Formats: sequence, C-alpha cells, structure tokens
Amino acid sequence: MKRPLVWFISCFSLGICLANHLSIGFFWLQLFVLLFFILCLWNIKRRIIFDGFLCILIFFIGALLLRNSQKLSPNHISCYSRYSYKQFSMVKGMVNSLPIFKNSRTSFLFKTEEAQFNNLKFCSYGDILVYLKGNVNLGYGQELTLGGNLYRRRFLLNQDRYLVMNARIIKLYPENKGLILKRLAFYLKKKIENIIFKYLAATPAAILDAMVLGERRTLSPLINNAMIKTGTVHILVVSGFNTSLVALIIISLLKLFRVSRRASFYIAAFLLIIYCLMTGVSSPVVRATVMAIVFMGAYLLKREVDIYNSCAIAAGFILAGNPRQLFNIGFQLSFISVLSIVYLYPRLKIFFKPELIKIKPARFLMEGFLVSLSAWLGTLGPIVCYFKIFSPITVIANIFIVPLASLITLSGFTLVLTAIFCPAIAPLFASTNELLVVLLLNINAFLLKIPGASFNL
Amino acid sequence: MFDFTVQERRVILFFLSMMITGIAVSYLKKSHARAEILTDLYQNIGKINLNTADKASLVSIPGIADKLADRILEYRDKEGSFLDREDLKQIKGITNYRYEKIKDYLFIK
Repeated sequence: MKRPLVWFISCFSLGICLANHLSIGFFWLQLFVLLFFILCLWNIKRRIIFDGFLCILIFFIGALLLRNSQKLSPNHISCYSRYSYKQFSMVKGMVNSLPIFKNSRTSFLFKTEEAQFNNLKFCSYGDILVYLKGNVNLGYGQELTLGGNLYRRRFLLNQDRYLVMNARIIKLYPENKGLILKRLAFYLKKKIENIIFKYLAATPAAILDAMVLGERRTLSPLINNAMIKTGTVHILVVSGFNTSLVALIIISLLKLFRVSRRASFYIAAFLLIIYCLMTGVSSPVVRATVMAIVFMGAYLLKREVDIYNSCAIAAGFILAGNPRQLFNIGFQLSFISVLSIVYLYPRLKIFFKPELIKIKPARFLMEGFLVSLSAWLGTLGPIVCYFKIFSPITVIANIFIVPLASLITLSGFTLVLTAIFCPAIAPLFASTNELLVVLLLNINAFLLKIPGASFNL
Repeated sequence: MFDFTVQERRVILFFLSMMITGIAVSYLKKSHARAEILTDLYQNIGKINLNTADKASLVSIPGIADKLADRILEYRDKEGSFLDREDLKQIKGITNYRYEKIKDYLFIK
C-alpha cells in the first residue's frame, strides 16, 4: 500500500469523531491505547496483524487527543468565568491578533496572563475575544490590562476560544510582547492594505483586500451575498487557491533572478509561512502552505509527489494542533474540494474525453468545466447541509470567475510590488485592477440573473 | 498491508509511545493543576490604600517622611489616581531601594 499516511489520518479522524459523539472517559481511552500499543509490540514481526492493530491504535490516539484538548486546566480563563459570569473582571495580557475596526468597535484576540475577580488575582492562560468601543489604536503584542464583563459564546468553541469580553482599557504598558515573525507578518499586512486602499477605489480595494489578505471587514454584504449565491465566495477568502498563487509568484520571481533551486525553496517556504500568518492561520491556508512546502520539498529531494499523502500530512499537522478543527466547516470544505478534484477530475476526464476537442480554447473551457464540476460534486453535500443553498450555476460561474480571480490576485500583487519599488507606474496597474474587478462583478451579476441559478432550501 | 520493515515499525511505535506519554502527562497536569492565586486583595487589611490615604497615614509608613508624603499626594492629585504601586517610582525621592522598603505597606484599589 502506497499511502500509509492517508490510512493513519483517516483512522485518526475517525477516532476524533468517535470521541466527539460518545462519552467515553479519558481513562478508558488511555486503557485501550495501552492495550493496542502492547498488542502492536507483541506482533511487531507479523506484518498484517501489526498493521491492523496499528490502525486501531491510531484511531484511539485520535480519540484520546480530542479528550485531552477538551480538558481545561483550572488556570484556563474560561474556568474562572464560571464564577465571574456577567461580573466585572480584570484581565492582564497581550493583544494576540491584528485589531480590527468594524461596526464602530475594535475587536481582537487577547492572550491572558492574569485575571482578577472578586478581589482575587489569579494566574491564567487562554485567549478571549475582546471588543472595545470606538477605533482604538493598538497593535499586535501590546501589553494591556482590560476591565469588563466576560461572556461565553458557543461559536468560538472549535477555535479553542470560549469567552468574549466587552472591555475598556484599564492600563496600557509600553512593552510589546509579540513574536517577531508575527509582528513582521502584521506589519507587512498593514503596509499592503495601505497600498491597496491608496491606489484603488473603495469597492475594488475591498474586494482585493479580501482576495489578497482575507480581510472582509470593508466588503459590502451585497457583493458577499451575490458571490455566495453563485458559489464563488471562496475567491473572497484566502484559501489554498491564493496560497498556491503566492507560491507561484515567489518561485517565478526567484527563478527570474536566477536564485538557486535550494535557496528559492527556503525563501519560498519562509515567505509562505509569513503569508499564512498574515492571513490569520485559517485551516485552508495552513493546508495549502503545508502542501506547498511538502511539494517543494519533494521536488528538491527528487521524490515522487503524491497529493493524497501531502493532504494527509497537512490534515495531521492541523489536527494534531487542534483536533476540534475536524468539525470546522472551513477545514472540511478545504480538504473535500481538493480531494474531490484530485479523485473525480481524472475519472470525469475519461468519461467526457476533453482531449478529443480540437479547438484549444474550447478544450480549455471543457477542462475548466470538469474541474469545477468535480469540486461542486464533492462539496455539494456540506454546502447544502451548512448553508442551505443549492447553486447549479456554481459549475459555470467558477469556469469564468476563478481564472479572472487569479488574474486579479496576480495583478493585485503586481500593484503592491510596483507601489513599493516604482510608485510612478503603480496607478497604471491600479486601473487594470479596477477594470478586472468591475468585470468580475458584472459577470457574477449576469450569472445570478439566469433563471434557476440558485435555490434557498 | 503497509510494507513497513521491522525497523520502521519500531520507529513508528517509538514515535507513538512519545505521543501517548505526552497526551497522558498533559491531561494529568491539567487535572491536578490548581488555580494559582497571585494576590488576595482582602489581605490588604492593615495596609494603606494609596488612592485614598491622607498625609498622616502615609507618614506612618517607615521610609516615608513629610516631604515625600507631600510629593505622593501631589502626584496623586495631578494624575488622578495610582494604577499600580510601581507608579510610585516616578516620584522624586523614591528609588528602587526605597520602593522595595515601602511597597508592602501599600495597596491600590
């Protein structure tokens, strides 16, 4: 069997599902793990029996990991909230994300270090989501003491966060405690955002900001809803698609400057990690970053690239960090779409035979249609289930919108680079960008007008 | 099924044993941890609240004389209130040595 990793990650994920649906305690799971570990050791020389026990062992490790992630230490900030619920509390810590100003309030993640309730000051850890009134000028890593009420919010559970605080700043400290790499990523993000909003009009800038940096706070809800209806909203969030484009740009540029293969691998890997941090470390971006690094590594080591195995590595990487990501819709759609394209596209190609089409553009369109159809078939179930929307137009929309979105992203990055290195010609690129965005919106609006384009279930 | 050699199987088992131990240790640490109280603010009984203290109370602290008490009150009037005991260091005459000497007599509320 060529793909042991795929089997291991499948067993691991099944274990996580089991632990999520059954209430088996940590002790019993640990007992099963030990039992199968001993059985594996016992049968180390018997190939088939060993492999069977190994799969079961990994299955129980998945369950055990989820149980462990669900267990919180009494020092976790959410444990204190049990007796500070809706009471004034004070927390000391640092800003752990880039603050966002939206709907006349500033929101950010706050990494707690100390918490104070009822005249007792505790040592604490864990992130909370903080809302401050107005536009507050804060940066990542800023050390603060905040005061306010803590609330529980269920939607934050799978992200390893439990509490929300409507706060006011009690004290600002001069120190910046943030990680250097993250600080660099956020600095670059701010710089790129400034360039986008300086050279483009409000709507194209908002769309480009969403496509390049994953920031949707300035995006009009009307545009967002129109893209949801045509099933092309994935281009407005940073996903594997954007990461692969970034990787392509970096490698092409490095090749242009005649940088050696080994050096360009390290540079590209570093820049991809920075891009991943810039865009908020979401599951699709982590998946794409890990897969891109695995692909480049395989190319460098002259090893065969297997997309299923690299997908499994990416999934293992994400789930080992937070097993609850398995129940995150972003994680599910990201992996399902990639796997359905990889699995269904060659089969659909055999069935529809696009290579028989002699006219090149028509063949290209047919191939695009098949890729889009594969992704649509794969993601149909989860989309209907989660979003209650059925959009047959998605298959056709993606044929036109995805290449256009690639072009917009590429021209967006070109705009950023020219604005940095040659600002005199940047307005020219900005005009091209605006034209492409207008084209994208018009195509989307046209497709939406077609009868039966989408149905709300 | 997976065509692993015996040595590869040993490596996999070693890796998994490390992982299992790690999970167990992490779980046990969480289970047996106790909420660590850094400060009990009720323990301030007998101490002086820097934000409400008058000159007489401040002078009663060993290490604070008349002049220094005046400067503390002046600073408090100017800044509104003390947010942290360490704010005292900004007052002329309170060196690190003096601060260490007087800090245990004071609290902030």
